[in-house]
Amino acid sequence: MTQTTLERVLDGEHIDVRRRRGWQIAVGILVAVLVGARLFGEPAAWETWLTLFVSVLLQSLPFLVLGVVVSGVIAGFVTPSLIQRFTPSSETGSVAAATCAGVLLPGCECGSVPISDRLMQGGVAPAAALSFMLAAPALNPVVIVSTAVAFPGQPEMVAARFCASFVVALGIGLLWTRRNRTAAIDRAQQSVDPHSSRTETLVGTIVHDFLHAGGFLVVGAAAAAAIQAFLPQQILESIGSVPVLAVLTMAFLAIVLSICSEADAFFAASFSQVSPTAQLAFMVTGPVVDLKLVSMQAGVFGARFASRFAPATVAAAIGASVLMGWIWL
Amino acid sequence: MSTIAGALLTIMVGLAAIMSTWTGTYANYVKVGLRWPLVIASLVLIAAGLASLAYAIRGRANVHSHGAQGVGALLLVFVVALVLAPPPLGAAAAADRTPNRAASAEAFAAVTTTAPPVAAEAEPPVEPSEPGNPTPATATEEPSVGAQSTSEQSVPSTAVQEGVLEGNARAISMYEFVGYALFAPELVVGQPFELVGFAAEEPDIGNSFRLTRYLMGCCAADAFPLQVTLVDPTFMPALDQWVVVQATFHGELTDIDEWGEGVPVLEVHEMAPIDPPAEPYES
Repeated sequence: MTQTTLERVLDGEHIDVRRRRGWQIAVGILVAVLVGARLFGEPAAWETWLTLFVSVLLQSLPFLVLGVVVSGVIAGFVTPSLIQRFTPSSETGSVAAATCAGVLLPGCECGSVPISDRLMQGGVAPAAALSFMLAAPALNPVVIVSTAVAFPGQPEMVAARFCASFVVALGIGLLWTRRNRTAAIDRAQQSVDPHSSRTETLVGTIVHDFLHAGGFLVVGAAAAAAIQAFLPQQILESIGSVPVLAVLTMAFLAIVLSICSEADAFFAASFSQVSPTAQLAFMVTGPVVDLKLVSMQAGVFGARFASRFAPATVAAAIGASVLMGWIWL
Repeated sequence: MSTIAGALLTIMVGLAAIMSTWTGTYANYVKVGLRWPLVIASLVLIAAGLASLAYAIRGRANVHSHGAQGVGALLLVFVVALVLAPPPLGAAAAADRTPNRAASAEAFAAVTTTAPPVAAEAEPPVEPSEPGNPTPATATEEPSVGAQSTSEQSVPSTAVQEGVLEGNARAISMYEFVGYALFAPELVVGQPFELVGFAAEEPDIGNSFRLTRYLMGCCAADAFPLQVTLVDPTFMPALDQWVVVQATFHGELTDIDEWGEGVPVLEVHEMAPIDPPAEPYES
């Protein structure tokens, strides 16, 4: 018992003060916006915010739990030597393998962040783990089917989405192999007691990763709900219908609306007045970068990492959409 | 955050979520298909939280972290919000959103080709009725599919209280009705249909309100309002009051946008107030 208390004290002292202050400022701004909206805005808009906030989180919860359970299994039962045996020795090869693994696993963006973090701690090359994180939500079977349903009779849209998202996941992974890899990633380090049993590690990892990723998900969901509730929806919709630069504005909409990757195809299809390439940009950008994802990535990998990763991902998503739109649509 | 506090918080999130599936309030926020995934996820959280608590009490806090795990305390906001149980999206949010945008011609065609409401009368139309319709092909294909799949297919009913109204109008979902009214009006004009929704404001026409229901993909954050305007109702319901109504569309639209789509205007025959349905959203 005394050891645990000591550890708790140490915990408090080891927290990266700089990173924590950044988060306190972000949360402070958000709270100020919400209190302001409560005091001066319409009560109805506040109620809408609360409904949307709960909706985004409740919708994410099963996927986040699936993610942290997989994360716990990796921490407790998959040893680094096992991971090394199944990953290609070259970093480029493992990026390609990780992208393909992301296609097969029905993940969600909220769940793939903690899994990716855990894979890195298990010895997977960071670039490969990042490719997995980008590929899993954008390329899984559920998303492909829902895209086909939302765009009936347009298999070229499904093909274009698949190709563009694949290119983004692969491209960002390859880009990160060329950069100074681990330097930019500033994770909350976790030490697992080597004497603890596998079940204890599993349980500890599930709880830890749930609280960690879930806390940042709350911040992201609050921000996404605030944009929908307090900005007139018709302004957002008219942003999406500007014909010039429609690709850029649709990508911007995808980032601020933070719609889950299973539903975003229906949302994109409803923008029937913009070009197919702009609809594609919405579907390719949303699963790899949006408010709740940036919030989680900044929390799990550090704000410095997120400030480089998010712009790179947005650029890759827009570039891949334009390219694949030109080829397919 | 201490291990014990973290474990308790994890249990609380699990309890709040499983309570919402028990009481049914979860359907105010997410699609009903998510019920069992939510139950399983909640049970996992409760079990993991209890196990972690047991380890901590025995003094074996095995995993200890350096970092911003304190951010997990924000999950308390989620627990409180979920227990407060805000209402589903209603008239106020609908006033802020473009109506019927979810009824895109392509998506509508995919959903409804198997369930035409009036297959017996499905004569091939001579030409699409709306010049502004971006995909007139949809409207012309619709009836031929209907004719092939013969008459006895039932339209999914969304009426929550059977037999409230006496007339024998066919019950139809708002999504299907709005889709037919906008993209294949010849199939629904002149016939009474029974619709369920809540009342929202009609800004342009006097003595009327907009019958509204949201269409949801995954959760309320991606929901769109579906609306029809009911003129000269038998009574004027309060905003957000749910009603069942039997009404007829004569081809008139209001609030028409630059693509020729808008809100269908219906003549009311009968209507009655009802309790909010267990599933407030169509999906």
